[in-house]
Amino acid sequence: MTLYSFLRATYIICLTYFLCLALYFLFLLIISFFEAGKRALEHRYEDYNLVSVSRFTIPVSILIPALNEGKIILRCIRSVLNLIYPEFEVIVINDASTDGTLDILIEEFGLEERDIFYRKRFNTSKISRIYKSKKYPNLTVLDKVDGGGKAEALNIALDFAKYRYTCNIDADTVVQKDALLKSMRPILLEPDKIVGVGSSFGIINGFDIENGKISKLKLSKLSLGTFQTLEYIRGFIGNRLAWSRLNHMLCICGAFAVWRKDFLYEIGGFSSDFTCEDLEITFRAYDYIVKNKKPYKVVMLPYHVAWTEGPERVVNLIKQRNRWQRVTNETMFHYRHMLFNPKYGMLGFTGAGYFLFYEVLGIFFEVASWAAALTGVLTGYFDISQFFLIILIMILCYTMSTLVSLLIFDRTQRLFSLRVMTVLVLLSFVEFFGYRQIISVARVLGTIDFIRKDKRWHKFERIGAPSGVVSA
Amino acid sequence: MMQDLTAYYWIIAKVMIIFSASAAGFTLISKFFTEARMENKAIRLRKIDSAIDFPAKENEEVVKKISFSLLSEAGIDEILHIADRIEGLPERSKEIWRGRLLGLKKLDKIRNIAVSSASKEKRIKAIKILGGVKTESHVSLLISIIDRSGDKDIIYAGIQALGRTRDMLPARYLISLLGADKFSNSKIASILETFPVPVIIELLKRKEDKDPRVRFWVATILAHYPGEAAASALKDMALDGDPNVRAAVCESLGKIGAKESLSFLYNSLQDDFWFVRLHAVKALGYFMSGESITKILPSLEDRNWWVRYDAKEVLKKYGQESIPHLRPTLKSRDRFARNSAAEILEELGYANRVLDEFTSAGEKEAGEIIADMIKAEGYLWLGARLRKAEAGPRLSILKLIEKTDKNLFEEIKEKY
Repeated sequence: MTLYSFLRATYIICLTYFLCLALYFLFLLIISFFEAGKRALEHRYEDYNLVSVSRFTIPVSILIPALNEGKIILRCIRSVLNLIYPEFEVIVINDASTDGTLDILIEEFGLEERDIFYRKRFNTSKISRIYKSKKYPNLTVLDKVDGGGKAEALNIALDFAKYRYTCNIDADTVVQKDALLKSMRPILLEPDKIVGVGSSFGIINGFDIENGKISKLKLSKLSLGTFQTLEYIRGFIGNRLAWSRLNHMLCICGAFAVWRKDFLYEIGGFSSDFTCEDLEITFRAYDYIVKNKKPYKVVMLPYHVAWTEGPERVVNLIKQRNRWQRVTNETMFHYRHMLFNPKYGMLGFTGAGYFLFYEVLGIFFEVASWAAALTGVLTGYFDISQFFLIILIMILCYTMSTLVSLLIFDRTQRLFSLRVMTVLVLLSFVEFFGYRQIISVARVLGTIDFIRKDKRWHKFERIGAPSGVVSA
Repeated sequence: MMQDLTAYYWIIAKVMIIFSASAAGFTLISKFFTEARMENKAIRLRKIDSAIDFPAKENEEVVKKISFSLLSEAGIDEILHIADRIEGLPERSKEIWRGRLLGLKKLDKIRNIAVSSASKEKRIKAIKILGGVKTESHVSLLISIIDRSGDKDIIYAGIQALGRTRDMLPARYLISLLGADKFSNSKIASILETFPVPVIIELLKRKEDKDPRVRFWVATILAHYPGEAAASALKDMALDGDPNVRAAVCESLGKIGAKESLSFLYNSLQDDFWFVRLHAVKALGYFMSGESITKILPSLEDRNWWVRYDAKEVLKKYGQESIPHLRPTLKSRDRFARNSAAEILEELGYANRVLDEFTSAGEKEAGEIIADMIKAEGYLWLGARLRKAEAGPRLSILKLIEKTDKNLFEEIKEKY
C-alpha cells in the first residue's frame, strides 16, 4: 500500500465518520426537540405550590461527598438547605479531607458529635465520627477514616439515608431552590417505574450567587468556563434528552443525580473499581434492567437544576477531561457485552454504539483526520481545499449540534438574555479553534492513562468563585 | 475517484454551512421575538393583576365593570390567568367574576378546545379554565375528558381542574379514580386533601370499598380531616384484612391523635407484617403518652431493622420522659437496643449531664451509667468531651474508660 492510498483511505474514512456523526447528532436533536417540548409543557402546568407542601411528596435524602472542598462546600450546603421541598435530609460525607473541610462545617453548622448505630450494607471503610447540626436538624455529617473515593463515600451515605430516594450532589455544585421539585416530578407520577433521574446543569463560572441562590446570570468575561457552558448544553440537551426519550439514558451525571435507594441496593451500590462512579452506575442500571426484564426507567430532564464549577485553567480542564475519558473507556470495556447486542434493543446500537464510536474511538478519528490532512497537504498528495474540507466538516459537525441545542435550550427555559445568547451562538463557531484541541489532548492522555490502568481522580484545585461573586 | 468524492463532500459541507447559519439566525431571531412577546405578555398580565387587585375590589359595581372590560378583551392566556387570580378574592367578588366567565361568548370555543384541539397546550389551558368556571356541566365535561383521554398530561390537567372546584361531585369522581390505575394515586390524594371538610362524607362512603387501594387511600386521606368522624371510621377500618390498609390506619390514627385508639396501636405493634408494626410505632410518636414508652421499647429489638430504627426515632421525640426507661435498656442483650438507648440518652443531653456529675462530684451511679453507655458502644461523644476537658476531669474520664473497656481506652488515649 502506498502512502497516498493510505492517506486517501484514512481521509475518506474520517470524512465519512464525521458525516455519520453529524447525522446521528441530527437524529438526536430532532428527538430532543420533542422531548424538551414535552417536558417544558409538563413543567409549565405543574402545580408546584401544591407539590411543595403536600405530605404525599416523596421525601429525599441528599448525599454530598466531599474531599478537600473547604473553599466551596459551604455555598453548596447552603443552597441545598435552601431547597423548597417538604421533607429532605442532607448527609455530607467528609472523605478524609486534609484541607480543614470538617472544621469549616463544624463551625458553620454547629455540628455536634453523635453516636448513631447504623446498618452497614456495603464493604466500606470506617466512619470515625458522626455529627449532627444544632442549627439544622436535617443535616448529618459523616467523617470517613480514609479516602476510599467518591463511590465508597456514597455507599456509606446510603447506609445512613432515611428515605427511599437519594439525590447525589457534588460539593462543588450549587442547586436551584426548586431543583428537587422539578427533578422529583416524574417520580411522583411513576414511583414504581422511575429509578433514576438526572437533570441538566450549568457551569457556574461567570454567575453571581448570593446565599446559595443564583442572583445574576452573566457572561462577564470569556473564559474556558464559557466554552464549557456550550459543551454542557450540547451534551445535556442535544444528546441525553434524546437518549432519555429512547429509554437508554446511559449517563446520569454525578453532580446531580436522583436514584431510588432500593434499586441501588439491588444493583450493588456504587462501584469503587472505576475512576468515577456516575457513568458506570448508569450502565449497570441498564444492564440490570434489561437482564432482569424490569419495567424501570432512567429519565433525563432538560431543566437547569444546578450549577457546577468548571475548571478555569487549561491544565485543570485537561485533568478533568482525562478522568472522563478514562471512566468512559473503563465502562465501555467492562460493559462491552451490551454493544450491538440485540437483547439490549436500541440501547446496544444508538446508546452503547455512540459511546464506542464517539466517546471512545472518536479521538482516534479526530487525530487521524488532522494527521492525514496535514500529511497529505505537506507531501503534495492533497490540495489545500481537501485540507479545509475535512476541517470544515469537523467544525460543522459540532457547531450544528451546539446551535440546535441552544435553540432547544432557550425554548425550554429562558435563562439567558439575548446578549448572552448572541455571545454563545458566536462562540459555537469558534469553539473548534483552541478549546476543541485542548479537549482532544485530554482525551488522548485519558486513553493512554486508561491503557496504563490509572484510576486516580487527579483532583484539581477549586477557585471558589470563578468570575462570579459568591457571598453568604 | 478521490476528486469525485470530495466534490460530493463539499456539497454536503455547503448544506451543513447553510443549516448552521440558519440555525444561528433562527435562534437569535426567535430569541428576540420571544423576549418581546414575553415582555408584552408580562405587561398585559400585570395590568390584569392590578385591575383585579384594584383598591375598590369589594365594590360590586366596580368589579362588574372591571371584569366585563377585562374579560371581553382577554385571550385564552389572560382568561386562564384571571381564572387563577380570582381564587384569592372575597367570595362575592369571586362570584361576579365567575358569572362573567360563564357569560363569556368565548366559553363555547374554550369548551371545544378542551375537548378536541390538536394542540395539547391549548387543551390544557382550556381544561384549566373550565376548572375555574365550576358549574356542574363543566365538571361533567371535565370528567368525560379524563375518562376518554389516554394522555397523562391531559388527565393530570383534568384532575387539577376538578381539584379547583372543591365540590362533592368531583371529589366523588377523584376518589373513584384512586382504584382505577388512571393516574398517580398520590397525586390524586394530594389534590383531594385540598377539598374542604365535607369531602369526608364521600371518603367515608368508600371505607369498605372492595378495592384495597381505595381503602388504603381513604384511610390515608382521613388523617387530613381530624375529628370524631374520621377517628371512628379509622377504628372501623382497624381490622382490615389488607396489611397496607392497617398500616395506613395506624399512621392516620396517630396523626389525628385519637387517644382512644391507643390499645389498637399497641396491638398493632405485634402485627405479623413489619410495615404495620412500623406505622404503629410512628403513630405512637404523635401521642407522647408516657405509658406508650414501655410499649415501644421492645420494638428496639424488633426483627425488622426499620421498625427498630423508627422506634429509636420515636423514643427520641419522647424526650426526658423516656430516660428512666432507657437506662435498663443499656443492658439489653440486643446490641441495637443497647446502642439505641445510648444514642438517645446522648442526644437528650443526659449523657453529658451524667458525665458532669461524675467529673465534678465523682458520683458512683453516674459512673455506672457512663460505663453502661460505653459497653453499649455509645462512646463517640466522650471523645468530644475529652478534647475540651481540663486535666483533672480528663484523667477521671480516662480512668473510667480504662476500667470499663481496656481496648477502647487504648484507642481513645491515642486519638484524643
